Amino acid sequence: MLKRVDSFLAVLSWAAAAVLVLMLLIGPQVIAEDKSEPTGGAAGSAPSGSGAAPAGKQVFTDNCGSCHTLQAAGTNGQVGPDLDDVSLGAAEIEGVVRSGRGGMPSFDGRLSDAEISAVAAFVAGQR
Amino acid sequence: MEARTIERPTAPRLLVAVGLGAAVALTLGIYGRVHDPSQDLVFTLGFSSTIAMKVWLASIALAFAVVQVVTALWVYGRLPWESPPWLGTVHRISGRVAFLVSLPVAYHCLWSLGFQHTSTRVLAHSLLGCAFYGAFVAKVTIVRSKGLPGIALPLAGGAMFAILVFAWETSALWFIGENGFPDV
Repeated sequence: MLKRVDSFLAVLSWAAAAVLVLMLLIGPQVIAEDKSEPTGGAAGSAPSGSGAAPAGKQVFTDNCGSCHTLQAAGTNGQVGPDLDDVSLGAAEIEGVVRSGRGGMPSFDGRLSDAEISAVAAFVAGQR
Repeated sequence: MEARTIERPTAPRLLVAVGLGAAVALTLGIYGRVHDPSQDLVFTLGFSSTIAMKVWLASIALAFAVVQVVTALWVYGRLPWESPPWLGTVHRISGRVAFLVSLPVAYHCLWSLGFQHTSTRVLAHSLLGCAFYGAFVAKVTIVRSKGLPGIALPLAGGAMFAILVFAWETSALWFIGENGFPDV
């Protein structure tokens, strides 16, 4: 029984690794195609819990841009730190968005988990 | 009649294993650095958020890696109990599961975030993440090579475990320390 599980996992792990490599190689082309498509106003308008991945940029402009400047999002809020000058990783940003910091309120409950992760990844990706 | 054994030099084969591992680690690092991070979510595999998925899966991978180390010590006779015949299979299964559950974490890191150096911790994690899969390839190559010095496999396994522990410390453990354990 154990040996059968082992044999199955052996095949599964190599197959999974191969799929991952393929996804990494094909992915950039898919993203390039996505970026070249006209948004038609649909980008980022996915409601929470719709199943579609929310666009971090849209979440940022809707919820963060009034307080934060971020060139990539085209926002120029002056209340909080200028995020073009901030170097934080996605996990750190996600922590700040969830817990709040200084005068910034917590967005836990105001944004879905998916939206928080998306906006954190978006801001971190601007480094 | 005396059987002759042909002794093949081990150094080149060890170098091949280390070289393959280094190539994989380097390739992942270069990929993470040059590719345009998607900045978006990819999947959560049923977890409440991407970060929850990564923290949980990385911790599960670490738990199975601990099982790997313990069973390896047992197989090598470093524990006071006699090893049962099924122990080798359990050792292999724990390693395969650890590798499998680490893949979605690695995919999200490479695909959504890329190789980052925004802080010492982030840089260390990026380097360790790439090094982990390099160490994995080196270890698998050593496992499948015959006639290597007996110390090669424990060294490779130990290095791989140490890298995983540090990679987990600089990501999942850091996140848990800052924000608590995320909900599933």
